[in-house]
Amino acid sequence: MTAWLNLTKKELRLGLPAFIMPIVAFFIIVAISAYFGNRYGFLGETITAVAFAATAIQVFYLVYYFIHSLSTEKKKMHLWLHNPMPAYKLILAKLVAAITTMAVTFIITGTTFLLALNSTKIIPIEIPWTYVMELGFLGSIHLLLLAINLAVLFLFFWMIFLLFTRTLGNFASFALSFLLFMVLNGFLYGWVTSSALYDTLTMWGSINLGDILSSASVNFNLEMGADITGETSELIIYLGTYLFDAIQTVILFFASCWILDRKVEV
Amino acid sequence: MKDSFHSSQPIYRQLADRINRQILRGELKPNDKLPSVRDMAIQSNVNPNTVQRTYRELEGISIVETRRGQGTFVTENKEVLSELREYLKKEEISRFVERMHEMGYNGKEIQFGVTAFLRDEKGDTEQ
Amino acid sequence: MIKLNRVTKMYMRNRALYDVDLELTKGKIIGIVGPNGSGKSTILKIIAGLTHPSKGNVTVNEVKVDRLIANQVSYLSELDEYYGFYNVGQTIDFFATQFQDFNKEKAEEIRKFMKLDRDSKLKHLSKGNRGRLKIVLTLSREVPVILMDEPLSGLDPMVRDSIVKGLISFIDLENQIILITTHEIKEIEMILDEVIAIKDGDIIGHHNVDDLRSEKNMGIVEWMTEIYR
Repeated sequence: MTAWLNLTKKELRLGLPAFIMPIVAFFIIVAISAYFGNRYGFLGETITAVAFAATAIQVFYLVYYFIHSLSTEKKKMHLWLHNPMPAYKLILAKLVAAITTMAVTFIITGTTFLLALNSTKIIPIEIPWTYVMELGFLGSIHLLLLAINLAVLFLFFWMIFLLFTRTLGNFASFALSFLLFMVLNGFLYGWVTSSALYDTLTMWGSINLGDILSSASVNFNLEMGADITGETSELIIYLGTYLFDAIQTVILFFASCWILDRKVEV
Repeated sequence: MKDSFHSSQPIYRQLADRINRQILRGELKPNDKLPSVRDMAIQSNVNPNTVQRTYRELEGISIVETRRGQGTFVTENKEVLSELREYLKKEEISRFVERMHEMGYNGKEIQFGVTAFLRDEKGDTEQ
Repeated sequence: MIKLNRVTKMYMRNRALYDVDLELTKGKIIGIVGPNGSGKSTILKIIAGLTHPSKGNVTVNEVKVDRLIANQVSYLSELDEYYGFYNVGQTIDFFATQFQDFNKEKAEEIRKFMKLDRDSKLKHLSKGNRGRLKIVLTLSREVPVILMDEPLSGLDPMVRDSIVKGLISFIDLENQIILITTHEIKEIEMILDEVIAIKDGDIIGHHNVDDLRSEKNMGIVEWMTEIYR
């Protein structure tokens, strides 16, 4: 365990540039947009928009972090892989470092967003803050889940890429991996998810998000009228799809570990 | 001292030879402790296994003795040491004589040459 | 201790090793010599579990080799890559956390012997000092197998000398086996027990160095010029 913790510490240190860069960029962009927003009298709105975009784009944060971490490691594969820990621990260390870093970044942009939002009149006074917070919380969870899903997908194709580089150049390997990604992800995944079998597998455990949020939205529904009620109450999700995605992510994760342990060469 | 090993003879034997000469020259005296295997290896830039073997060989002909827990020492046995002295003398002479023969000198010539050489050398040192 | 059984390694159509059988026992320093691209590095990587044979099998201490053999093997790569954000001390400390068998006191001893400053940044280390650091990291582990890929190449004679001296001083020949690939034979000849010559992925000779000298009256260099002719 201490070995793993120390490895995670190393991963955090390795990812430091990847951590700092987006935050610096965020503050610079916020500053610039605040300057221009202020000139036209939309200070709060501009920052809200920028901060929202910066928060939403973090669905790709883990992928971005992995690109940095794994490509740095690619030059030192003998260092990374000459280690008695199994691959899942090696990768988990990177994933934990990535999620930690993402959490910090997310809190920074998210807080900026909420503060800026609060300073504007975008949200009608009738909508209570608890509702906004709940929505934000649900959104964040989904963003993190999706980010992990994408990161593992990326990880898998990075391993494929590493396999290609054993015999091909970097560019050819990248092109081939990307092609494979397009085929598998665009075609196969699309075909699977649109099949009837997929529907029967996943269309269970329906949860109406509108219900979850209803406690907060009841009084606001009363005041705002029926049209918004309609929007929120039909937000139905299926537990089945979550399980399906979770299983897919776990399988891809362990497939990546298997490749790293057995097939990737220094 | 290092790099002076030649390639036609095992290193452990060359190392043993060196130690023998050090004993004759008095650089190593009876009952002197030899460096530990590792120190000797470092000093002469050779494999510790080689030193081990050297010590074993020297022990085999009783020139050194290993005392448990203390190390390897030059023997105090005068007889063995004078045997060594005699042996090395013979070895050196036979090598010299062999080469002289190769060049076509006969025994008499060699004998003469050596005597004359020694006389001159003595004269030189007495001046 | 180390066994290669009919090992073949192909890279696409090129074969790096062809049908190699090799059995090595502990307590020895073994040199692997041969021209560039002859398969020297591949042998070490295969024993370290960092490259996988296309055919045949490899065992270390009766255990079938895969990447996890790293707990019995200390591997020094010929590449000169370390984590540049660490300094010498941090690099040693990081290694100590990753390998249970890492002896920190020994590491300190070797570091001092190699005259490395704990606080030097890796980025600013000279090539020679990086070579010395590699020795510290590799030899501080108390493992049965030590693999060193070209530990001397590209270094000046003084550094080479300190590395050879470090090797003699800090290996534990009662428990370890050391495999060194090299093309600087002169420096290392005196410390080898055995020498293996390979050419085009084939072992073309494997001798005890003392036997080579006493039976053939040859040092390794003479022997190599003969067999590579």
